[in-house]
Amino acid sequence: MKTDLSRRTLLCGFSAALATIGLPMAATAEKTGNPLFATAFMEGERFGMAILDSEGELLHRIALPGRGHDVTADSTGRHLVAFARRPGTFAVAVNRQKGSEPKVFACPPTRHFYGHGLFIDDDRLLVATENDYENGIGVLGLYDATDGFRRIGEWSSHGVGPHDLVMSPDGRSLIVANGGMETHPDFGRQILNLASMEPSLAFIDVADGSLKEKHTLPPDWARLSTRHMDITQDGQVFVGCQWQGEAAACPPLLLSFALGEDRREYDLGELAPRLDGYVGSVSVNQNEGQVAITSPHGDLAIMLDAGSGRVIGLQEGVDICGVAPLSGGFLTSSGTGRFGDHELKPIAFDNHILAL
Amino acid sequence: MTFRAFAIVAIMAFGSMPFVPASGRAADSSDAAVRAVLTDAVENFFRPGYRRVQDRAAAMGNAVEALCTEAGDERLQKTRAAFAEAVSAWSRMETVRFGPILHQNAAERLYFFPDRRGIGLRQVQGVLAKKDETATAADTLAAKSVALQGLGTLEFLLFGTGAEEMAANGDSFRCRFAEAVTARVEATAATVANEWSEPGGIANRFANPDSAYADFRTQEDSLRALLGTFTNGLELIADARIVPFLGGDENKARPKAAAWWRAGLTGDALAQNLGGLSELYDEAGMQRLLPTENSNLSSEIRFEFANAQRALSGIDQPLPKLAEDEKDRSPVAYLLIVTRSLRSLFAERFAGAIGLVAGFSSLDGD
Repeated sequence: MKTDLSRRTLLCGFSAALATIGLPMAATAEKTGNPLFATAFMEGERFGMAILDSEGELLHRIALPGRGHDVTADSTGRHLVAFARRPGTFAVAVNRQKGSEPKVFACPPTRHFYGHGLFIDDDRLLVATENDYENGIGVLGLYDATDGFRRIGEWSSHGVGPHDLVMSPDGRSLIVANGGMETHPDFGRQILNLASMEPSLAFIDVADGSLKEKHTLPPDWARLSTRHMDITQDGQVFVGCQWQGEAAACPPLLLSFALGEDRREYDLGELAPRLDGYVGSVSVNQNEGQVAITSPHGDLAIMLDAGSGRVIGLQEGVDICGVAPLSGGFLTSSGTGRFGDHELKPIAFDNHILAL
Repeated sequence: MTFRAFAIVAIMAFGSMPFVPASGRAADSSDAAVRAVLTDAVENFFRPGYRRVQDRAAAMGNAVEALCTEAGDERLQKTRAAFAEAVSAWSRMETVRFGPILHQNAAERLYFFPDRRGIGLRQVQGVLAKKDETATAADTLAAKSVALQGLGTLEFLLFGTGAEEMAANGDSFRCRFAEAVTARVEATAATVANEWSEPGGIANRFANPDSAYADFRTQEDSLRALLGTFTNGLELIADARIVPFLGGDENKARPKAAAWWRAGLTGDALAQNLGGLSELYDEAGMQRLLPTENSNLSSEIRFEFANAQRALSGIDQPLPKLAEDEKDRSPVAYLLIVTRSLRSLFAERFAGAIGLVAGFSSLDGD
């Protein structure tokens, strides 16, 4: 797919951007009733998960034992789980209504979390992407949400280095981005298989963990790590990638997939190199039919029409990464403490925002 | 009007989005000064450094050829010495992870490490056991696993189990395999060196960035790559070269997890890893990037590099074995501390001084 980047398109894009990215539509709304979000953060030496509203009002904070990454919620939005950033091993579950003590649980020895998970089976199970690092394979840890998040088993992620995961709109497929990168805690963040990476997107049967369909990438794109994603109501999975190869040969960083369909690639034209080979977050706004990607390396967020792939908005900002849908567009956050259009220094926000 | 400028103007004009200039680079590091640093990095370090790897690989190839023509202990020793020279030249450039070294797995072709599950070793042993003749010609070897084509394979052939065969029989399968591997190492090194020498190629794009380039559009892009050689390189040295064999204590030391343990070159390679970065800092004249108020930082950086070299020069035994002894391991533990301290100096202080601090979200890419 070729994105039209004519000057006219860009002009249209900016007017759209003003109404959306970084400009909460609730700007004039009363505090109560503002949309709520959850995100991991760091403040000084402390880490936590925060619930904020679109006006940057910090409503709740929950301490985390270490640096968090993403937060997931059950279908009611009452139960939240924050995951440790890789190679962390803790997760913290919170019941927003009961006000009970957060429940801290861990993945087993020889596994670490990748920082993402989601609830399945009518909220009874929590699935988390994990690294079976002694064997260098990806797994999905299964935790019983009705029994203190006891780990009851695991499925294969059908690839190496599973990162983000989403559920299909019909609730039948778990879709996992197997980034392809093998790491091991004994070697810090070093990628151990750069010469043999096989990134993929796996559609997995949510009933039994079996593989329904696996999308691999062309050989020239072996170092294109599929990483973060979101899905539209009609099942189009937008995947933001991170390139581990030579910058001059960077493939498209935004791809989309659907069950039974060919991969789509989004050529962002002159904007592409400005992502610096790195997409940190992907978010879909279902109501508006838009998708946004962010690059904290490139200090850039790009908003596209989800159907046509046309670029319709941009936002520049230092270390911009967190992004979540908001009426009319998206709200973004940064590692420098910006949340929407509010500065909350000395808080630094982690890569993702969950809209509650 | 360029697209980038247009974007910034448009956003600022409406003033409704939080906008912070993407580039906070120190005002006193002028374009010309930055260009001088980038150019010197190319001319004084990247180009000669990669060419040296190629030259040392060629010399090693000659030594292997001589050994295979007329085997003998003396020639094996000469070949081992030539191998050490090649390892030394490579180790000096090893921490550079941008540009042509990322192309076609060049870094892994030159040295497949770490090899946590022993994949490369098993493949080498498999070739030797089967006497796979396709591994004895450079062109057919090129199509095989990258783990078979580099210095790690040569290390096993020259120093591993059965290496004495090289001194006894020049016409051995092992010797012919070694000849093919040296040819592959030289070819890979030549490709990387040639790409750095190509007019209008990576060197020009790096030193004279332009918005038309996909890789280096601004000087900030080039500076990030240059600085990344230090921050990522020092992280690689700490996490993938020292920690794996040092372990948390003497009981967790794993001498055979060290790079080049068979050849006894662990310490020398580490000295070259760190020495290469020190050389890059000086040869590029990176102190010129620092604002006056941060000029002391260069002294601190040089002091720490000197500490690292001093720690290594005081050790006269193979490093991996030392790690198993509570007292003897302390210089290696100290080297790890110095390496991490150097990383902090670059990642936090140097980057901050020149306005390139990576934010919380972009650190530790995830």
